Amino acid sequence: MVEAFAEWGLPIWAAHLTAALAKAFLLLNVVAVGTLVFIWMERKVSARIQDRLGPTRVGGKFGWLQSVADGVKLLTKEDVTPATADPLLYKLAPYVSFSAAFAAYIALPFSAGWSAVAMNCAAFYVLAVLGLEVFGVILGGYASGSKWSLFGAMREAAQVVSYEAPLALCVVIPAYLCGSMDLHVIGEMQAGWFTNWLIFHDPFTFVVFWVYFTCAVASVNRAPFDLAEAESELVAGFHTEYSGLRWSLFYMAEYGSMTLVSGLAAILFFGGWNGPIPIFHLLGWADGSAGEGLHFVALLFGAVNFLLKCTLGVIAMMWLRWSLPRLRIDQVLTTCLKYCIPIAAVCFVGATLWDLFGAPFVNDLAPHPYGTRANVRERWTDAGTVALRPAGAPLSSGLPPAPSADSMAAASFDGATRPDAAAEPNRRAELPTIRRIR
Amino acid sequence: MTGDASPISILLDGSLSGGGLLAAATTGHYLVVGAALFAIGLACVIVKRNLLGVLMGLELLLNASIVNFVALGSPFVQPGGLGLDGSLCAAFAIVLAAAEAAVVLAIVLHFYNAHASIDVDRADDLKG
Amino acid sequence: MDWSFLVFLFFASLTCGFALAALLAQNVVRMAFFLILSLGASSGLFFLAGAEFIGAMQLMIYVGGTLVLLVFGVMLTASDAAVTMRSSVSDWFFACVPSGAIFIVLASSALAVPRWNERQPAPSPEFVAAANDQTSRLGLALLGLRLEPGEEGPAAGARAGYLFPFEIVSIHLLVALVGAAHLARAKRRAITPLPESIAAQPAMPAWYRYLFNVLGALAASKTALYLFAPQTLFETAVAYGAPPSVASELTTLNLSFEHWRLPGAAAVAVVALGLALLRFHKVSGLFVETLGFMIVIVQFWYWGATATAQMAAVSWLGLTMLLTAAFFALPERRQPVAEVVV
Repeated sequence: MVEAFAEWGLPIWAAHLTAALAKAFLLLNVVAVGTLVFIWMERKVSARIQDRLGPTRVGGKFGWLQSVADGVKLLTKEDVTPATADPLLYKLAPYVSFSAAFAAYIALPFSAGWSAVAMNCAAFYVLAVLGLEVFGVILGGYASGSKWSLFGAMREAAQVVSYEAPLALCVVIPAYLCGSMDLHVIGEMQAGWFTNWLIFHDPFTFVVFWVYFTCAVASVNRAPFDLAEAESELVAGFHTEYSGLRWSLFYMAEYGSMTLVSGLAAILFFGGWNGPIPIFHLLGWADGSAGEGLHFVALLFGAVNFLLKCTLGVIAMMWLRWSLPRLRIDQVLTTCLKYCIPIAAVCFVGATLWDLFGAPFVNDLAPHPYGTRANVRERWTDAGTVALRPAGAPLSSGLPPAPSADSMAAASFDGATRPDAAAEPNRRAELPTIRRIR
Repeated sequence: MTGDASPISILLDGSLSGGGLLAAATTGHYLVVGAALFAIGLACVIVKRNLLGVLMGLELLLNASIVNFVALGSPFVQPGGLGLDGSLCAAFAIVLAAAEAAVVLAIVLHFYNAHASIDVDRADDLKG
Repeated sequence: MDWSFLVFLFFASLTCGFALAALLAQNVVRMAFFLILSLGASSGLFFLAGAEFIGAMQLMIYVGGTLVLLVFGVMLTASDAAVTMRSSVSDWFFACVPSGAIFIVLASSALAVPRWNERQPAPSPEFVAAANDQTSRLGLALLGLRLEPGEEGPAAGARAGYLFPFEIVSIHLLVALVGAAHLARAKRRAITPLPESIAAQPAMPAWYRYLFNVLGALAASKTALYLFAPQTLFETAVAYGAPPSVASELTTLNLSFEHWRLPGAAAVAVVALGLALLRFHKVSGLFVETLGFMIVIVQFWYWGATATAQMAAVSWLGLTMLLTAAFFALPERRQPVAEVVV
């Protein structure tokens, strides 16, 4: 993007600035429009679960303009600051929360090579920034000068800090299996049929996805883990005193981080932007050999895939919220410390051993003409441990082309012989390897 | 850049378009940020009476050293500097800072339980 | 690259400005808030310097972990007197004079070294590509294989990695964890004589023994790891494209299974014996565990793997210290819950 702006004759710093602003604008739209849609959707989903209709009037059919009407109402509300509040912190806390939820989107890829910043520790970065959202809640709760807010904030702090540990442990497993923390690489390694998605890699990753989902729901404070705003006990928890625009910033942060953890789940476990059937690989559009336009169409559909998976994740969270009762704080911490952490740790060891001993996984039985994840990884590491790919380059073009049909025919189903294993005098072949290379 | 240049001249020499203000940051710039953080942290440690304020000053001091390590270890800012050692030292410093904060907080809570205050000026007896 | 100086100025002024605000703030909660912003902005500086992993680490551990703890501490100890605690003018004087002097000395010396103030030419795309992969090089360095960007060949494997400091830091964290938990525990005192049912229990409750067993099992698994892991680690590194020099190290170290089988079996047997003894007699169990570790360490030295031997020695020291500490720290009897003594 920077190069394109520079070609238009902008000086280089202005090109960088324009590119950054354009990306920030696009991401802000994702968060803001996503929030509007999800608020409407939450109303409709909850209504259906409770056998109601939900909003039906605003904007004609289905009440689809309801969230816009809500937004206008919120904008016109009075911005109240309580007399006992610490005014500076009280006013700044919503921005802290929102900017933390928003900043995490910087590293999130929406399709192959489509992210604001290509970071080689993107998964780690997203987790790190997601953990900062809690500051807005703690500060807002403290600065409100109300006991309900303070209770909510303390609960939130205890909950989020303890749930960060199992969440990180769950993210480590896909990162380990792909040999990278770059979300582009993790997503690209799951190309092909849906059997190549990491959730189907082995039983342990299947289990760990559910642990991830539990921890993700807890870390974004959704029911049944929404103790920080338990409206039956604490009025509204940490945002009791907030109104108007500042309250809606907290709301946007909540929905933004919900979308974010769903997107992270989609990339880590559900193939990211790769659909269940590799249509664009079958058509030959995905690698750019069929022309730039068709490649762009393939990438665009990848983004649609990704957003669809995000939406499904968010809908699952809504479904949970309207189906389950709220947990008590001791139950929340028990779930984390006694169940999530041990299960995730066992799954980590299990997935490691499964990979180490080369136990079969379901993708061995399916056709995989575009290379299994292991093949992709082998090609990727063959490029050397140091220079993997130029920064910012889309990964799909950085990978070597898929092996030809006859070389794949030579490969057996368990893939014990790599297509190019015979061609290169492999130094690994002379050493006792502990890993059966699939 | 010669050694005897003053800070102002380092910032402002050359025109705006080439070099001068708009040149890439050098290690020296990072180290000045590190020095500022160090000085502020030191002042914080000395001036604060709240034990937690002293702890925050300590965090600033550690952060100053981390900034220096990262700058000297960066292949872009200082090629041929510390290299990977710098980044690794920064990583270890962050981890040790976390451990340090946990222990200091435990001490603070202990002190608060014993004295119902976290004023460092009252921590003047060696007997609990 | 010249645009990046604007970004640098932005983050640098945020870092220093918020640090200054933290210094000047009287309210301790506001101070924590400014500190959060200052540390977050300095992670922006790290991203700018190309240290993405360190920047993310700063955000995760420093800002997201340490400072949440700090804010927690502030809230736990917050009373009106503690929240705003003013310092006297003389305090400010004695703080500002030395720190101002230190700032002048440090800043002028930073700007006086010519090597630190040369503007770097724009790096070539190949160099950027090689240097941008710092994360995996960091990971390899923590496994004991240190590579500089674009480096391969005989020099690559010759530099010492960071496996040893990594081990030390992990033990340090463990000890800090135990220490913090020990310090912050609520002191409880029995206010009534022990009931018969509790007094009649054995001196060491069953779950403490299991604690010893877990620690002993940890020791045994570590022993096994050091016996077999160097091989595995090196092979993994080679399988993932480590330079050929590592392969030659492998052969010079004689790390084949035949050489390790006998001492390995002996060490595992001794450690298992120690494990069994720990169940019944703590001191002799500790002694035998120590013996097992000694066998391992001597073997490593004998085979020339000095760094691994050192690593095993430190880990043994840490575990033994931990076991001994647990041995002395654990209470003799289970006590009933009673009032908290402040």
